[in-house]
Amino acid sequence: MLLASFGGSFGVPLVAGIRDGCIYGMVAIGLVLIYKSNRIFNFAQAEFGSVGAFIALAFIKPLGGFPKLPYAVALILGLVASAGTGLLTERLVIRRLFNASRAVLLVATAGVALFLISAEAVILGIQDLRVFPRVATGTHYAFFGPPGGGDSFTYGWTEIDIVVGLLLLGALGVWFFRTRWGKSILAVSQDATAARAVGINVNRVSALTWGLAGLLGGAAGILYAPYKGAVPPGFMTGIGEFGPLVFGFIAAVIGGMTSLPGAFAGGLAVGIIGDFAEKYMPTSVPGGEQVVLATLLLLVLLVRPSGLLGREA
Amino acid sequence: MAVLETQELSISFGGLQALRDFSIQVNEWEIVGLIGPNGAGKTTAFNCITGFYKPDRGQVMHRGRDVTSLAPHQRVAVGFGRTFQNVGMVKTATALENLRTAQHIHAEYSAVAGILGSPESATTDRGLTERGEQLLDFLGLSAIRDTPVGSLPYGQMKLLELGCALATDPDILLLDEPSSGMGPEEAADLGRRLLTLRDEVGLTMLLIEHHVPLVTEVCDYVYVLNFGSLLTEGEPAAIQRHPAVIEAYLGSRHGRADS
Amino acid sequence: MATSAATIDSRLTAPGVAARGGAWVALAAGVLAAGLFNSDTAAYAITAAIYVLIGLSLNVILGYIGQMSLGHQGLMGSGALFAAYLSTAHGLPFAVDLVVAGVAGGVVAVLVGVVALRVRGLYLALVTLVVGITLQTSLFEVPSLTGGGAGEPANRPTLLLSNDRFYLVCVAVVIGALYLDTRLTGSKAGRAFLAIKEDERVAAAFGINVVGYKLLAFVLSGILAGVAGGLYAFSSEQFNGNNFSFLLALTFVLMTVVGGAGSRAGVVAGSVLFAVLQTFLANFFLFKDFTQLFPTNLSNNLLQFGPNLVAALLLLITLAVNPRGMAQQIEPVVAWMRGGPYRGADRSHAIREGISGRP
Repeated sequence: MLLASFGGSFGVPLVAGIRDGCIYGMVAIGLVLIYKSNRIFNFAQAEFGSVGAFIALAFIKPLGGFPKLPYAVALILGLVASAGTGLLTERLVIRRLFNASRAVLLVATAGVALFLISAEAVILGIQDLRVFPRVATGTHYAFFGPPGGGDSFTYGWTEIDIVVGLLLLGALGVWFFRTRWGKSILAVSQDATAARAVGINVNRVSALTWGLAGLLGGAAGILYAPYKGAVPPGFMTGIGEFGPLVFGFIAAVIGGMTSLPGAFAGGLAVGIIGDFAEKYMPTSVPGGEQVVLATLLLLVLLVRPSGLLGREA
Repeated sequence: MAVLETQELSISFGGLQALRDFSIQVNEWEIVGLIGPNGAGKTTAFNCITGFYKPDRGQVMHRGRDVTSLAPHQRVAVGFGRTFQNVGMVKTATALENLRTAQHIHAEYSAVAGILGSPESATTDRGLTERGEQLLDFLGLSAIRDTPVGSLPYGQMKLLELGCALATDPDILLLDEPSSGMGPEEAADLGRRLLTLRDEVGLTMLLIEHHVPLVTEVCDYVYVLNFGSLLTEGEPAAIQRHPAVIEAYLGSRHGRADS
Repeated sequence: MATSAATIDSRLTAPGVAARGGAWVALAAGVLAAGLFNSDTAAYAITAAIYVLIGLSLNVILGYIGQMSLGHQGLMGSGALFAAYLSTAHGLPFAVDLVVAGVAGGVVAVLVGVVALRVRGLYLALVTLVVGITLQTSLFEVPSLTGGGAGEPANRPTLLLSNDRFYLVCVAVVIGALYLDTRLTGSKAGRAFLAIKEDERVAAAFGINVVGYKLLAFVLSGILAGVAGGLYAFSSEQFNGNNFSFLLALTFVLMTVVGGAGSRAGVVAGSVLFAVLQTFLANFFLFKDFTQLFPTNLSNNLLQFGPNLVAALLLLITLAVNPRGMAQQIEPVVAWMRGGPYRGADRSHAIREGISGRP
């Protein structure tokens, strides 16, 4: 295994960083898609993923009268739920506010996030934390940890994460640049009026964009939940800590906010920097990872507001 | 000594030279016109003079003092009053509120004293209200004192905007298309008002204007700008007959939007 | 801003004066009764007063200069942290702690404001979001300041141990804040804020120092949030960093928008409504014993998170059908109480919109 050759304690944050980076990258791509089509920040982006993860969990465990289904089927149903949440958000909230200012839309997406988190909390509670099971457990690779063991690493899921993440993104990329729908989304994000003039159904494309964003959030959610283990309501947004939402935002800003590949690269950067910061920042600084990434965000915004990788369109 | 003098102002945006070696002079009690086709750089010149753009090269002098490094709000204190092409006012506030807001630099109390409710701040604000009402009276706009600006007809907005610029108590007034949105009669009325301001208040003005009768009526001197450079200058009557000016205007039918 | 509402109609009749006077007395009696009825209602009323302070604080950013903050829990928490720390670790008196809480909120707000001057609109929302959460996970977890995991105690002075007396202090602070806010909107700073919100170029052409006044807005907002945090620490008699999560920041933004950003009366009403939702309503559910209707788990969860669910729904309804928030209904009433005629549809303010306005 190529990754194994890094060895030592250095390899652990690197591999973990790439895994986290794929997840953050997906959230970031969802944020960029919505930003390009509606020119707003979607504060509910990551929470689409929590919804998907909890639906999947309900079929895996099973919970609350849901039938027990195979792991893979449950994940697919979770993805469908996430995409559906995205579609419903577009239909019930965004489209109704089509002529509102961007500030209103921004507050509205924050409201959707609070609504989803509260609904999860009301249904699931926060007292007894649900553990999202891994598909393959017990695969510890001690050689990733420091000599003498201790910091061992559950490796099987990480590989799946990275592979699935890259496959999904590859498929998305091909779809985006090859198919009519993908091209329509790009066209509308450039200029809605012009797109309408050439006969693109802007409403359909808007729905599609939000559905796709929901799907990306869902993919991030079901990849993030298993290795996070215990998943409280709102785990994708992050209530008392940075969640994938905040990591995804930082990634999207680093990537320039309008570039899809930039957002993914930003996600990888945030994942790797974050995991190294977590490991190497002195423990006397509480929340070291957050401090480092918050500083990075501020620096990028102050010094190079167009992002390190992208160019503001 | 000139009230306003620019020396070789130049600025470019992403490779496009919007203004090149722009040197003009506006003397005391003069009304100077700045004309040119759309996209010629007139508004860019205004923005450089009033500090909204930082020129790549060149100086802006006010009565011999170099003000090139001053921020826009500092230039207001020096005596630069300006209006905007698309009406620059607080559209959600009333006409009187706008005139009070525009007297910001004459509200001579600290912001904190105002928040704490010092007696001077109340007295000063009463003075601002009085002066605002005088300006409304001067412009014949007393009837719209308490009307939100956003609901006024365009011509009245432009006129009120002139009032806001006057409220800053300028030494030189820079007006960006003051007659846009006005009918011929309103425009003629505006011209008489500008002459009154020059003759009775002693104001010096630089104006961007498309309305040719207004330019010939009020301007003492005219500069013509085309593609960012000065094409020619002179008295209005001479400018009107200048072949290069006619050429520039006729050739600009497909010009870009003004920057 | 709302100055035209303050012009008293000289043709007021005696019944008119009596009716308005009665309304004021009823309002004052209601405010006092909420705190003096019993210790529980006083606790709710304290929360309401603190929410009103936060609402006014956020209104300066959202309503007056038209910027966004998703990190106000960080400003509030900073105030709470320093109030608790100074009172417990250094034994400073209550009043000094509150002042320092305000200063702490103001200082943190300036640091955010310096960044805010460089970034705009949506990005500012992001910056405040990230700074707020970072404050919670780093500063609020520093063991030497926060007493470790147990939280730093913030004991009230003996005189204010009872909730009703503490509530009166809160009311006094709120009245002070309302006075300053009224002066703010009626003086040149308020006019400058409105001009900046409308168009920064116009503000500059009026001679307004845009950078300076934006910073001032952040300082004022931070001071108010810090004082609110100080009161919060003393009301719960401890500082616990976990209480200042992102959910709280979301709640604050929602209550300001539902109330009507830009309108003082609307924001006060929205803040009180949300405080009632979070405290009184939750206990009302408890009293009704929902366990008979729902499974135990669900009813417990509903108690804890039902208010947030209602809040989110209220926001979405507000944005869809009542874009100027509760202010749309409350401003005409306030104008009448201040001596003007009652104009149900309040046309004079129809064009004045907060952050909830349409372009």
